[in-house]
Formats: sequence, structure tokens, C-alpha cells
Amino acid sequence: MFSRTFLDRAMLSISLATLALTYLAGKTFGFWIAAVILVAWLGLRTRQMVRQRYQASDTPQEPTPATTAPATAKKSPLHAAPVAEDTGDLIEGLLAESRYALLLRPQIVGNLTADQITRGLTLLDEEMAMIAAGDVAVQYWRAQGQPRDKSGDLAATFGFFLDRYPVTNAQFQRFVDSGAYEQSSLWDPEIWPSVEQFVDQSGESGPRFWQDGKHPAGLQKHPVVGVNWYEARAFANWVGKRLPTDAEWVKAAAWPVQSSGRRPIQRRYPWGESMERKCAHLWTHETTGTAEVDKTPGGATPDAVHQLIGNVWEWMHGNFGGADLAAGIIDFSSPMKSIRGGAFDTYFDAQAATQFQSGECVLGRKHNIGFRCAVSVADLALSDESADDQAEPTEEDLSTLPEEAAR
Amino acid sequence: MTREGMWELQSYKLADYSVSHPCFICHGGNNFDAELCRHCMAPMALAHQAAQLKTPPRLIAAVGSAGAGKTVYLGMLTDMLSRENNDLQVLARGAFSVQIQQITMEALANCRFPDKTPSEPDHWNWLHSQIQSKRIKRPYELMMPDLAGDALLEEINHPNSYPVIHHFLSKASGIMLLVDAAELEQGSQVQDFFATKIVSYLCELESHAKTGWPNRPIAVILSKADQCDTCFLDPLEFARKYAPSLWRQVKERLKKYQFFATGVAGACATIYGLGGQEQIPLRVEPRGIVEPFSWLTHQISKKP
Repeated sequence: MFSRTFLDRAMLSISLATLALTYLAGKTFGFWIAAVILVAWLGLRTRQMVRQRYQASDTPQEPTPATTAPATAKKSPLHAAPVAEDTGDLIEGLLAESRYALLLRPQIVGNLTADQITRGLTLLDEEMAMIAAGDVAVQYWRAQGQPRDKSGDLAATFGFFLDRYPVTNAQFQRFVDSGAYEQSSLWDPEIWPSVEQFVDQSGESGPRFWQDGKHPAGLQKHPVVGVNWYEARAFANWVGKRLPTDAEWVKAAAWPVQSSGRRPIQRRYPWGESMERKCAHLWTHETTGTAEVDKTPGGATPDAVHQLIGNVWEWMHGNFGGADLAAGIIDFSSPMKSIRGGAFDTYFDAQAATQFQSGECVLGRKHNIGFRCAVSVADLALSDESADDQAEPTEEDLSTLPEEAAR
Repeated sequence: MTREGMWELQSYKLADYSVSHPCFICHGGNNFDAELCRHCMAPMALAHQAAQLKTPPRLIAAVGSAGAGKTVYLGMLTDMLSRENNDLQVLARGAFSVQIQQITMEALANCRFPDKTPSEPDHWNWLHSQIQSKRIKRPYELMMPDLAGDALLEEINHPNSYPVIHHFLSKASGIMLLVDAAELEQGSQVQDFFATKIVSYLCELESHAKTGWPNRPIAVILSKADQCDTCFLDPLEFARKYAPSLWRQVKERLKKYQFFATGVAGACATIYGLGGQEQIPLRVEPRGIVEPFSWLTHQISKKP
């Protein structure tokens, strides 16, 4: 079908040609008839355009869903798509900021070129590891004397991607520089009044130990610390991801082997059953602080997820002290969120094991707590099937991914 | 009917009993086989070990109110310094010296704090160790008791009620004064008053300007600083703000002092049970543990 613009142009051209021909042929009557028709049509068209403009300004905008897609994506011109050049620049910007998870959303991926999709998938493969769906035994913290299952509660996880490294200062710097601390849509509404108090040493918005909105010099490859749970969550929203659950994190770290009809066999540490000091950045006499995120390659999981153990504790999505808290056995002065993995100053090896859970105040901005992000396979448009199948990625899904992620 | 038998005459033991063995802490006479001093309840093993040394051991006390964290601090300190090669090393002398380390580590590994130290001196744990450091020419012996806070308070309020505390603090070369920083930050003045009392008590106990406490080193340790993070940034400023009496007392009466912040637990929670409420550590992340002890031993090693 012809577009509206095409019909307008055709109508204008025919009217002007009729006017010119009748004038040149000396047909006065015909000239005036054509002129009247043209003026009437122009008047009607102008009226239509004015009406359309008023209707557009009066229509309320749809509210932004909080979890699945960040508000930046909704605000972005990707949806409005005013001109092709702007959309292209925006996509390139998002790719440069490693916000590929936003672009690979089913709602957005249709606007990308084949090359952009490939680049997004390559980034996904380089920066995240795919953890297949399956069961995992997860131990949660219980107060002394409370009944507990030593092997942990059995939980099912869906397929998901997990960052290969904790979020670094350099990555968080992009978040700060983008003015994310002023974008209320990235933050949970309950924390809006307090976001302006999340400042660095100089009073600028940013992690606690930064200065003038900049991370300490030379620490760009160190994990970001001094961020509370809400800041970690806002960053995850910004890149189109989320914080991992306890079950997901343990699934990635303990590498459970499924055996039919039995509980999965799991590792105490990502590399095996016993602590290897060279595999994790934990407490020693020489340890003074965080290390670069790629410092201990020997401690990676078989699918190359690094530093799940040591360097910094990692914020989990879930609460800490669940059952005991509900029973009134334990009490915290403020709500606590789960953290896992141990840090550079964790003293006991057992407290850096995959199953050990600790907690921290939701607003705590500690020197040894960082985070990494996750995203569900089902939330990404890796293939047509993956968007439909919410439970488990199929062989076809895996074949669409680059080789490393599929492995 | 008669039964024959042999009765061994251990006459040499009689000779041993005739000699009085002085306690290392209070110098009171004891039998050679006494386990604890009958005057002050200090272990006689200290006296036997000290008798074999050419240089008498130095004494350091960890003092503070009940629950200030003395046991946890001493246990953590000895464990950290005995783990691997370090600038400062502690080597335990005698099996009893490992007890406090073992009790503390077992408790912390299970996410709980060790039981409160009982007030009775015969139940206290003592630490006799050798200190080695690259900064010290010759290693020296050190003795540290894990004093009960309640007993200390009793001794301060009623001097000589605990002779072992009285004598030990008279002879001690240095003090680690532990103050609960978390309680201070919450606005409680109890810790401030208690610490002020201790400093005042010490200065009255040995008041000589050169040999007394005014000239002996005191490390003021703000414990549980993990629960009030600002304490780590500037312990002196924290003390000035939240413990003004102590700060003034220390500043006016002592020549060698320094404020430190320490923390053992990364985070704590309160548990409600049959025995009332109890604080538990959610993880162990020692911070600032060695620094006060290192400073103190350095100060002590300067003295002959």
C-alpha cells in the first residue's frame, strides 16, 4: 500500500500540473476549479496534522516495568526510531558500554543488523558464561542449634548467563559517568530518597572509596567495592542484567554433576575439594586489599568463571537469614542480603567455600563486597526457540551461540 | 595374719617441700609441685619456665570491660602471629599457652564467639610465648593472661580483691586497653567510664613519672570497629568524639599511648534463644589486629 506521504506528494504534484496546464491553455474556468480544489485539500490536510499533534501530546506514556528491561532502554530512541542514523549511534554506544544484554532482548533485537547481533553475541560469549539448567543443593545460613540439612536444600535453576569476572572499577565508572545515579528509573522506588547519599569521599555520586567521582588510579581492573546492594542492582539494571540468586551462584561455582534419582555431586571449591591458596585471593599476612579480577586464573570454574571464591564477597539477589528471621530466632538491626564467595580478608577457608553464606546490611558499603551480574537465557533473544522455551535451552539454542558459550 | 610390703622412702621429696618456690607474679611462696599459686592463683608453670630463663619475661595485659572482646582479640592475635612467617612471630611456650588460641578459633570457625571468661583466676587462660621480630635483636619471652572483665572491675573498685590482677598490673610492661567501639557509637557511656577508671587505677598503682604507668606504653584498642566502619578511618578522632573522658585522661596522664581500631567479625547478628540474646559473628575478617601489639612490643623492646 502507498504511504501517506506518497499520496500527499502525488496529490500536490497533480494539482500543480493541472493548474499550470489550464493556465497555459487559457482555460480560465478550469484554472479556477483546479485552484479551489487545491486550496480545499491543503486546508483539510493542515487540519488533520494539527489534530494529530494535539492527540500525541495528550496521550499518557506507559509505565516502565522494573525488572525485565531497564528504563534506559524504554527511554532510548530505539523504540521511537526517529531516524536510522540516531538508532545506529545508540546501538554502537550500547555495544561500546558492554550493554549488549539490553540489545539482545527479544523486544529490541529486531532493530539490530546481523552484524550488530553477531557483535552482541560475541560480547556475551566473552564476558559471560552460560550455566545450563539443572538441580543444585544450596546451603543457607542457620543459627546454631537450628535444624539444618548438611547437604543443603535442593533447588532447580533455569539456564542463565553469569559474568565471568566481578564488575570492575572501569565498568562501574561508565555507569557513574552516564549519570545513572540521577536516573530514578534504574533504582528501586523504596531507595529513591537515599540515592543522593550514596557518595564517595568527595561527596560525588559513586562508590564509597572513590574520589571526585573517579575510581582510584591504577585500580581499573580491580573489582568495584564500597557499593551497597541497591547500587549493585542499579548497575545490573543499567546493563540489562540482574543479580544472581544463591542457587544460581552455587550452581556456577560448585559445578554439580547430576546423577539420576540422587542428589547432585558438588565441589567444595570451583577447582575441587581442597583449598588451593594459589587459586583464590584470600587472607594472608601480605594481603592488603583487592586484586585484579584476572589474578587467579587457576581458580576459575571449568567454564571459565573467575574469582567466584576470594577477592571480594558478591551480593546475591536474595535475603539473608530467611527461615530463622521469619521464626524470630535471629534479628538484624537492618535488613540483610546474602553474600557469598569470601574476600581477600576472609580468614577461614571454610568461609570461602561455595556453600558458605554470609550476610550484610542492604545499605552496607563495605571495602570487601562487590558483585557480578547474571541474565536468564529466557530473557535474551538468542534464537526463536529460546524466546519461547522458558525452562531450558535446547540444542538448537546452544548451536546459535558462539562456541565458547555453548561449551 | 601379717602382710609384708615395701614402703619406698622418697626423702628427696621432703627436701623439695622444704624449699619455697615463689610465684612469678606475686612472689608468694608455694610448694614445688603446686599447679597454681596459693596466693594469687597464677599458674606456677610460669615461675618454673621463668626460672630457666636468663632474662625475665615481659608482661603484657589485655584489659577492658566484660564483653569488650579481650579473649577474641588475644586468641585471634596469637593465631595470626603463629600461622606463618611474618615480621612479628609468636611461639607458644607450653601446652597451656595454646589453649586460648584453640578455644577462640574453634568458636569463630563455627560462627560464634567464645564463652565469657569466668571471674575465678584459676579458670583463666595464660599465654607464655616467645616473641621474634626482625625489628628486635634478640627474641624475648612474653606472658599475657586473659583477665576476666568482671574481676578487673572488682579489683578496680575494691583494690586487692584480686591479688593476681594487682600484682600483674604492677609489674606489666605494657597494656592493651580494649574499648567496645560499637557500644560507644550507640551512645553508651559505660565503656568510656570503665576505660577511664582503668587508666586512673593504673596511674595510681604505679605513679612514678619514669618507671610507673605514666611512662609505660598503653595501646587503646577500639574493638568491634567492624560494626562502626568510621572508627577505622581515624581512631583518635573517634575516641575524642565518643569517649571524651578516656581521651582526656589518656592525653593528660600518659606519655606513651596510641589509639587503634580493630575488628574480627565482618558482620554480626543477634540471636534470641533460651539463654537470652547473643551476638554471633557472620564471618571472620580480622582487621587491625596485629598493629596494636606490634606497636606495643616495639615500645617494650626499647626498654632494657
